[in-house]
Amino acid sequence: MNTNKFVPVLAIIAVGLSGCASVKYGDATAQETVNERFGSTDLQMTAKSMTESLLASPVIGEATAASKRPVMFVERIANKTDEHIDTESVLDSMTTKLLQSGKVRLVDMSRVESARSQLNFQNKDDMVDPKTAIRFGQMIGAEYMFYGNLSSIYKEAGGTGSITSKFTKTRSVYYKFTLKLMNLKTGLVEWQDEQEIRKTGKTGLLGM
Amino acid sequence: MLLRSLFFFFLILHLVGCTTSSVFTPYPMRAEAYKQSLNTGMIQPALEQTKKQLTSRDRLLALLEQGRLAQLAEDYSQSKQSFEAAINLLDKIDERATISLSNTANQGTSLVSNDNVIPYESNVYEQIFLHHFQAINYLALGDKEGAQVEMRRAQRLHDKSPNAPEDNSTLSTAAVTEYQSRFDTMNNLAQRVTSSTQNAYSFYLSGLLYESQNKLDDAFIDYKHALAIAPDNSFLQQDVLRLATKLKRDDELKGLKPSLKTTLSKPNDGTVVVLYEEGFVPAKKEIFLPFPWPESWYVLAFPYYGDSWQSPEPLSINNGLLATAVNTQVVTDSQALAARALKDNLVPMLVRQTLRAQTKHKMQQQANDQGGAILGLLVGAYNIISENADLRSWLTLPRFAHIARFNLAEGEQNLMLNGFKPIKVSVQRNKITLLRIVKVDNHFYVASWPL
Repeated sequence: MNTNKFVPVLAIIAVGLSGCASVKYGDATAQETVNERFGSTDLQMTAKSMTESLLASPVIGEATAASKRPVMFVERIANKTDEHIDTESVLDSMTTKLLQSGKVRLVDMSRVESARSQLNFQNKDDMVDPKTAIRFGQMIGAEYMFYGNLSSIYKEAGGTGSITSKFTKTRSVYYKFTLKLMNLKTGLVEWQDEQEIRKTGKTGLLGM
Repeated sequence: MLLRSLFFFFLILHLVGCTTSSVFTPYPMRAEAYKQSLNTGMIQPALEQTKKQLTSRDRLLALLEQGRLAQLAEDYSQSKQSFEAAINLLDKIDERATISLSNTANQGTSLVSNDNVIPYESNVYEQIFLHHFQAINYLALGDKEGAQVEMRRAQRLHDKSPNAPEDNSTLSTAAVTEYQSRFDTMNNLAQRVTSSTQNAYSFYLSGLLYESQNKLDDAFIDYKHALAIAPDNSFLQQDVLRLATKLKRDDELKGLKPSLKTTLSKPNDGTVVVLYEEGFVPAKKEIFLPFPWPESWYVLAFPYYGDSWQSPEPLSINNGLLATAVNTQVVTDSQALAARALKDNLVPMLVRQTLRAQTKHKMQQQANDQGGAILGLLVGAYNIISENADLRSWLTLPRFAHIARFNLAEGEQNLMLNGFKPIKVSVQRNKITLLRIVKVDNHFYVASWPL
């Protein structure tokens, strides 16, 4: 008698377990809220709003007035948070949008060494036709430097105190992106903007 | 009845099946191999051994030991990988719901066997060391920003206030005092620190990283934190004094000892900062204490730190250019941190032990009543065999962390450690060179990086 009762339970468990492995595609721009750590939505949101702000700013307006496209070099975003965040990837998203706007031109400092070794090869190696070799000293100097900071404040509450807060834990994290554009000739910071993000995560009472 | 006997039979089989984890083999015995490998400098076999533990309940512990071993074997990317996995695991534990099904199941199993079936979750003092060592990995791999991220995470743990005392209404005060009175040595150890989550060693590294980037305000704050924990350390006193003078913190300067002289550096000098880790943190021991119970007395196993305090042995560093040998000074005493952490965790542990005594007693009674004398005897024997204290802790951690700081002329310099071990360090002008020395037994592990 007793054992008969177990059969349906076992069947349900077996079905539940077999359903574990599955793969599906999702929308890359959908809001991601797995946890309160820095995620894809934060990256996309920041890249979008910051580039829009920069492109709409007077400095780009003035620089592009005489159908000129200012040349910028992207320095880096210093990571001052307590997470390992790939800030280069955030910058990549921004520069992609900036270039696609057609209003600016970029020089990439992160690959200068590779370019140098290629030019060395073209100019010094007998295998390359000297007529087609690109000579040194033709790169265009950047007029603007694009750089910034990413900082965060992390707070945790709960786990103690009254009965409601004892069994739940709230984690709040605040991110602040600051980006700046410096005119390399004058040293003036011609544009600056901030993006703030606040996220809260909660651990509930029950779970796996 | 048959079902019940079968249940016990399988339970015993299941638990016996985990002999490779610490359910039946006490952890310190297994960790002895790791320590031996560090004593002799043959680290590879021990690393292989940690890999076998990665699928057990002690996965976190295995990752911690593995990271430390790999780091001392100078395989920094392997070490970084292990520590990263450990950090991810800890993040998951942190995000887990208060009443988690998997955790509750483990706690339940622990009632019929022992605390070793609860997956190891580590103490805060171990997690601070974890981030500290991970920062060293980032430094060794040339990523200073990554190292600072790790130090900020360690900072977050420093800020964590120790858990509020748990409800101990189910415990008789007699039980608590009984336990505490037995462990004078452990209490003496624990009293050496005010909190198990305050680690001056990691504050110091954090301050140093800030100082190397000329962020003197941030460095000053961390040095001051470190000094508050280790007030007698003269290197910390000098650091705080030097930065307070530089930053013109007149208020702070008044509180500092005026007798201290700041060492002026010559223009060609570079600074060498020594992070010295000595020995191994002690392992927990097991003691069986009789526990009073309405029907009878029960013998339960408890973990404790039984070794009395060992005094540090400073490392002496000499060089022809130094006027006198420099002796390192202690900033962190891990034996005290560990004892403190165990003491702070006393109440939940005693609650579990009491529940276990109850459960085991009932199990034996039922077996006697329903399965006859033989099953009763079997279960009784099982109860005794399965009674083990939870002795797990990260055992390749250093017993003491020391620091020292001095200036040397730039270039390749020869240093003599303790008068017999010659090493080379390259000093850069006006820059800080981090010299990390780990000594276990008489084996030195030396590495240095410019900051």
